[in-house]
Amino acid sequence: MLKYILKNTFSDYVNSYKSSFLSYSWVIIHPLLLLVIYSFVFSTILQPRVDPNNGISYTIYLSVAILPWIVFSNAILQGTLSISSNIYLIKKLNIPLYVYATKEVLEQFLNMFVVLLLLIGFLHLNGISFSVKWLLVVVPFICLFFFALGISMFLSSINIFFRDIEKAIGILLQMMMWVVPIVYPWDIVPKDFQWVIFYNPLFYFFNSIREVLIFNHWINMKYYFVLVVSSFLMFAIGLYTITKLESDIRDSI
Amino acid sequence: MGNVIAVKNLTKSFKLFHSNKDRLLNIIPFVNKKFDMHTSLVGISFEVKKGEFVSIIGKNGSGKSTLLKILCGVLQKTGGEYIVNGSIVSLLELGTGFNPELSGRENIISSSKTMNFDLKYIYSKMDELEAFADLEEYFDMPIKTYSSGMYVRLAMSLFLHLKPDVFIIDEALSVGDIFFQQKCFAKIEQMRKNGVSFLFVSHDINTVLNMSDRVLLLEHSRQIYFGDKHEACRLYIRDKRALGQNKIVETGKSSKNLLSNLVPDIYVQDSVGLLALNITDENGINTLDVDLGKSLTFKIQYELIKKFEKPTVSLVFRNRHNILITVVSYQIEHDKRYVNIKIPFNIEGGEYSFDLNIIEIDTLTTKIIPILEFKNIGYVRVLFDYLNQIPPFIGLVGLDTKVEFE
Repeated sequence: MLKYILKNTFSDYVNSYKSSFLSYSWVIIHPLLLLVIYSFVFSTILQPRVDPNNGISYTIYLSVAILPWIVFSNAILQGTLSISSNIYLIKKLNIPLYVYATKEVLEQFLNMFVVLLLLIGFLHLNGISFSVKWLLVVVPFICLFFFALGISMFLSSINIFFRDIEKAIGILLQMMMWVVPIVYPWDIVPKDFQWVIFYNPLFYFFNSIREVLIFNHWINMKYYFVLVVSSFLMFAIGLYTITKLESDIRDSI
Repeated sequence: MGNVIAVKNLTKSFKLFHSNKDRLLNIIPFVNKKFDMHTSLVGISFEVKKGEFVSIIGKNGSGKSTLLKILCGVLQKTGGEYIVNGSIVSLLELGTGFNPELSGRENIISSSKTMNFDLKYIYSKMDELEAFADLEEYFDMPIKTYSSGMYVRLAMSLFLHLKPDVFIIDEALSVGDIFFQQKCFAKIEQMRKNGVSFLFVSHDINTVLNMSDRVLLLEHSRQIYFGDKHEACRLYIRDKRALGQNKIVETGKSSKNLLSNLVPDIYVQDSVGLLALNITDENGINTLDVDLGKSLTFKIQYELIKKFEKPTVSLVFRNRHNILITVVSYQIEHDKRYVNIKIPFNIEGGEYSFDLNIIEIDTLTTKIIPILEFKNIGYVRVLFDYLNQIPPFIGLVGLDTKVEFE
C-alpha cells in the first residue's frame, strides 16, 4: 500500500499542474503573495511589537511560521475533501479509505520541501545562515505531517455524513491561524488570554520551528513531548475513525 | 481444478440509522445506537473454477451488483465467507482515473497506477493495446478531444489486455460499434482459453446462454438457483412471466390462450373481437424464438361484428431501442375467422416487442383509425450466435438481394 501511495502521490502531483499556465510556480507564488500582504499590513501599516532587541524584522518572523502554515492548512483543506472528492474512485476500487487521505496530505506536504528551500534562501538573504541546530526542526515537521494526516482522516470520514464540515473547514483554518498565532508574536497577547495559546498543541509546533530557525535556540523537551504525543493521538483518532467508518461510508456513497 | 472464487453463505445488510448523528456516535466504543437493517444479499453460495464462465442473472434490484461489489472489495460483507484466489479485474472500473488533460497513452499509465495494475506488464503490452484501441493519431492526443466511443475503446483496450485471474463483466460490454464489440468478444474468448475465469452480469439471455458454463440466478436478494445454464434461464424467464413484467404470450393449443387473459376487456368493443393469437415456427411448434432467417407464423383469430370499410390487422415490431422495425399489415375479410401471417425474420438477432392492432384505413383520407390496440403483448427473440458464426448480414435488417455475375 505504501508503494501505491507514493507512486500515485507523485503522479497526481505532476498531473495536478498540467493545465495551469504558470504550473509549478504556483507552489511559490501563493505563499509569496500572502507573505507580501501580511508583512506590508503588519510592518508598514500596523507596526507590531516584535521583539526589537534581536533585530529581527517582522517579515522574517512571519515567514518562518506562515510558510509551513500554508502547507499545513492546505493539507487539511484537501485532506478533508479526500473522500468526498474521490467518491467516483472509492465506488470502484478496492483501495482502503485511509490511502486517499494520506495521498492528499502527502501531495500537499511535498510542497513543504519547496517552501522550506524558499525559506532557507530567504533567511540567508537576511543574514541568518544555516546552523546544525536546524536539523532539530525535522521532528516538528514530521509531527506536523502526522497531525495533519490525523485531522484529515477524521474530518474526511465524518464529512461524508455531515457535509457541513467541508463548508466550515476553510474558515476554521483561518481562525486557527490567528489563534495559534501565526501572524503576530504570542507574547504581545494580554496575559488573561495566553492560556488559549498554551492549550493549543499547534502553538508548540510553530513556536518550536520559530525558536530554532530564527533565534537558534534548543527546543524545550516539554515541547517535543507535546508534539509527539499530540500528533500521535491525532493520528490514532483519525485512523480509528476512518477504519471504523469505512464500511458505513462505502455503504452510503 | 481449483476454485478461483468460493462464496459460502454470503450475506450483506445495510445499516439504516435514524440519523447520521447516531451513525457517528456508534463508532465510539461502548455506544450502541439502534439501527434497522436492510438486507440485500442472503445466503449466497457458489464457486467459480479456473477458466470457467459464470453468469449472474436476476431482475434489477435482486442484488447482482452488490454481490459483484463485495467480490471486488468495494463493499464489505456482513456475514458468511468468500475467498478469491488471485486478482480480480472488473469492468465496473472502466475509465477509472482518466484525466481529460492527458493523452491516451499517458492515461493508460496513470489510470493503471490508480488501479494498482502491474505497470511493467502494461508497458510490455502497450503496442498491442494501441493497435487494439485503433485510435491512430488520437492515441497521443489529450482524451478531452475524444468522442465517447473512442473513450470507451481506450478504456476497454486497457482492460482486455490485463492478465487477471477473474474478470468481471457487466453491461458495459454492450458499448462501441459491432466490430469493436466483436473484437472484444474474440479477445474474451482468447482470455478464456488462457484460463481466465469470468463473472458476467447481464439481462441478455441470449448472450448468457451462448457464453456461460454455469449460471447463478438471484431474486429478491436470495439465490434461487446455481448450476446448469438452461435450467437457470428457464427459471428466470418463467419467473419474469409469472410476475407479468414482460408479458410473453403463452402459445398454448387451447383456444382460450393468454392473449385473452391479458386483455380481459377484449369484447368491450362490441364491433370487433380478437379471440386468440397463436405463434408457431416452421415446424408447427409453439414458440417465440426464431433463428435468424427463419420465419414465424402468426395465427390470429378474429371476429368482425360491425361492417368495416377496410379492416386491417397489423403487427408492429420494435427493437430494444424502441426503433420501429416494421409494420406488417393485411386487410382482413369479414366472412373469415382466421388470418395466418408468415413473417421471415431477416433482422438482427435480439429481442423484438410487438403490438397487435386492428385498424381501419379511411380510403378517402388514407388516415388510420385504430379499432383495437394491444401494445407490447410479447417478445419475439431472433437467435443468432454472433460469436461463432458469420452473420449473413450486418446491421438491423437483411435485405432480400439477388446477385448475378456478368
